[in-house]
Amino acid sequence: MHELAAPVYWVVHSDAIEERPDAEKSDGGLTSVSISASATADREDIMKELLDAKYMEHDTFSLFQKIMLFAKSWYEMGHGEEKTVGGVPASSPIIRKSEYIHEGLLGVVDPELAYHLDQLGILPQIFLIRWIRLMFGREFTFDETLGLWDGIFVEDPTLQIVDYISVAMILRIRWKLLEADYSTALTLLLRYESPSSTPLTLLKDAIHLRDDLSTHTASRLITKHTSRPPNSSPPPYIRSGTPPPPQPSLLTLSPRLTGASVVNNLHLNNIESLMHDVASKMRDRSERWGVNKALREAMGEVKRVSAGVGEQQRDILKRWTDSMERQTVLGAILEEGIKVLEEDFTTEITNEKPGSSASNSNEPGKRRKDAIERIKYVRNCLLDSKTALDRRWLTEVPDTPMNNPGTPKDSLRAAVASPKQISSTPTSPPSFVSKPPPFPTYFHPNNNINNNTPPPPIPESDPIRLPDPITPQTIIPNLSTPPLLQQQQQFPPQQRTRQPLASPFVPKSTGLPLWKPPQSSSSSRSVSETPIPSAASKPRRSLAQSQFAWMLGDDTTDKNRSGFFGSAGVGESTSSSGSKSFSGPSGRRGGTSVDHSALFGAPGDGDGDGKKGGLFGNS
Amino acid sequence: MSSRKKVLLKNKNSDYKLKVIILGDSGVGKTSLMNQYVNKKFSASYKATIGADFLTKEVLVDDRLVTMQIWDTAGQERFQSLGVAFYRGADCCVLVYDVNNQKSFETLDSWRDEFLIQASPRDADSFPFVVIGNKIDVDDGKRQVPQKRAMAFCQSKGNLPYFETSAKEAINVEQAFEVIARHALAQEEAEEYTGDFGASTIVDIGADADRDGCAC
Repeated sequence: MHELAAPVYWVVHSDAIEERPDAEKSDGGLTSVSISASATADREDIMKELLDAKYMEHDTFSLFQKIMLFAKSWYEMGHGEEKTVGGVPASSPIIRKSEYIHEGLLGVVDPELAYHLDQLGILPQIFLIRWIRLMFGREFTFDETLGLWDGIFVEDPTLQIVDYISVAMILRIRWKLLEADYSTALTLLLRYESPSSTPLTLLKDAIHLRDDLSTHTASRLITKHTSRPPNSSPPPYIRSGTPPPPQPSLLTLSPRLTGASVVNNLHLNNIESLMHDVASKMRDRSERWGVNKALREAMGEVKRVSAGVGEQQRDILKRWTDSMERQTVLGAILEEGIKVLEEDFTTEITNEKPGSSASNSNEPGKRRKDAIERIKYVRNCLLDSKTALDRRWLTEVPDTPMNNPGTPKDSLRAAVASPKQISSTPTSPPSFVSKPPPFPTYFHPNNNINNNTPPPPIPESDPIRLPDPITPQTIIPNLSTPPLLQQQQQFPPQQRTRQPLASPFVPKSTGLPLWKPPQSSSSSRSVSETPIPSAASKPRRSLAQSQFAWMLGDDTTDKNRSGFFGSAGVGESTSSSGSKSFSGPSGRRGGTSVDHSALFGAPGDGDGDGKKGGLFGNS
Repeated sequence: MSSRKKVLLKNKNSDYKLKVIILGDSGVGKTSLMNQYVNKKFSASYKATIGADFLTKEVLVDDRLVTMQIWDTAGQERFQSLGVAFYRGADCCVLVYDVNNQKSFETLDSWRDEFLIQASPRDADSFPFVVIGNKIDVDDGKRQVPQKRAMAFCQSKGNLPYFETSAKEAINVEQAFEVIARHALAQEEAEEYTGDFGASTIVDIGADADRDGCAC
């Protein structure tokens, strides 16, 4: 039997209940109790069915299948299986994963150790293949493995945490490894000695590493478990394929002080000076040939290109902010138009007195036309992205230089395609629009590099509301329920726009923060509390509350039990690592941003998010 | 760094470090052979090797102390799962089959070919292979590969040394590995392997000089 299936079968077998054919005779006392309370009997029936020995194999298979959803790639072959002759075979996913663990994780948190193992020539896959494929089943005793697996499945059913557990394991024997030669190091890794504490503490370490993948975390863990702190500022890890040349002057400080950035800078400087030399020599020689003009042009081109790289980034940022601003303004204009039409429509229905409507017929007509013009303008803008954005459609902004009441028609002429429509444009915006559009903070004019417009005051109770992607229905004012409308308006724009910003982090944050003690709440905590759109996303109970509470028993070092899978634990400073789990850069943990809520998620999810992230990206 | 290594090389116990890789189908007894040779132990329970395993043994070959790094591989694995780098720098390759299993004998050739592709030794024709037919302790009636046939195969592949062993009964294991060590040593000397691999040999764990060199 597969070694990932066997422990599952064992557990299912131990939990199984043999159904007794005749319950009355054997345990009459028990049945009499259950008959007295039918609800208890029902629950008992469910449990009986759930743990029915008849379905042991079925259950095992189902569970194994769920594990294999994510473990599958550990067993896959490289694509170049048949193309090995004469060509370089494609490395298998497990090798790429091993390299990622070595370079992408260990190299980040403990560059010194990663470099040392690299120098020894220890291929990470040699030991990681077994560690990972069997989920440490051969590294610990059976009972220890079961405990660790419980923790893994609770913490991360996508099994990405296994990578970090591996790093935690390597860090535990850091000092031994650093002193070891090739054979000794391999023996240490291939015959891993169970830590004195339960392997479940490795899972805790892994969570810390996952939340904050830094030398700081590693240093804390090493100090905690070995009471010997590593170097305070280890040099960046560079793969031994291109080991930094040992420079005699630096050797006294560190054999590997030449970081990648230093090397790069030197490299760039060299190229620059080289280019200068070549250019000046060529100029001297080519003076009489009349080539110098062409050369100067070429040099100018080179300079332009090199200067353009930095500018490109700024340009992209500017374009992004511009387009975001454009979207909002257009949305607001559209909303105003719709609002006018809506209002008119509803007033027409409610005040069905012909007289009153006739006396006011001119005003609504104008307003309506104006609204239609707005909508048309937005359409034009959307059709042609080059159409200049004109905020006068939106509102009067007193302190905006662009807002010159004397020239709305001219600019509108440029903006709107049909001159016929322009003629009907009102010279002054409708009275109900009196304030500038509320800009979401992330593309506030203030943040826009090239926008000279001073920031318009953020309206707290402005009737114009943002096009909110989360609650689109609020765009259309519902006159019948004004209290609700007001309630919506009371939200400051920043708070509402936070939601779309934060939403990409939501799936990731479903894992840890659910167990976070409430007192450690931070600004980012609200993100974690946004409802997770999944049926299976009920906050999991902490380990201490669950039936797995016994797993905590051995660990006396950890005082904060409620935060076991949260943030507390290593050393003294704890709260920071917890909040980093969602406020940190998402790219680093891209691979882990799978929907944690699906404990044994639906088939088909497995190949998507689970693999795409940083897991193999760095290899 | 290099000068430091030279100093250490002088101090170390053994002169040579030999990399030996054991290949063959799953269940032929590769792990058992290694365990019998290094630990003098045999376990009847079967546990598939995952990836690779590793044991070292110091032996005397013609009064020279050599350290054998014996690499036991997984029979189910294809070469890709360990990566090309694993096979590089091997000094000898042991091909194991089960004398009671015809198929395990027939695949020897492909194991050999794959190894040569992966390890890409400088001279593939002279690279030392040793063939071992294991499990001779099992009843004669069950034997599927006659000794003659195995020897003919070895002859055809360039006169490869051939041994029939029993890891269970410790028959011929010592002798086989002695020949393996000898061939590996000859190969190591012939190759004059100059890579970094050869320099990172036995170092006293307590050698402060080395630790300082790494940790500072």
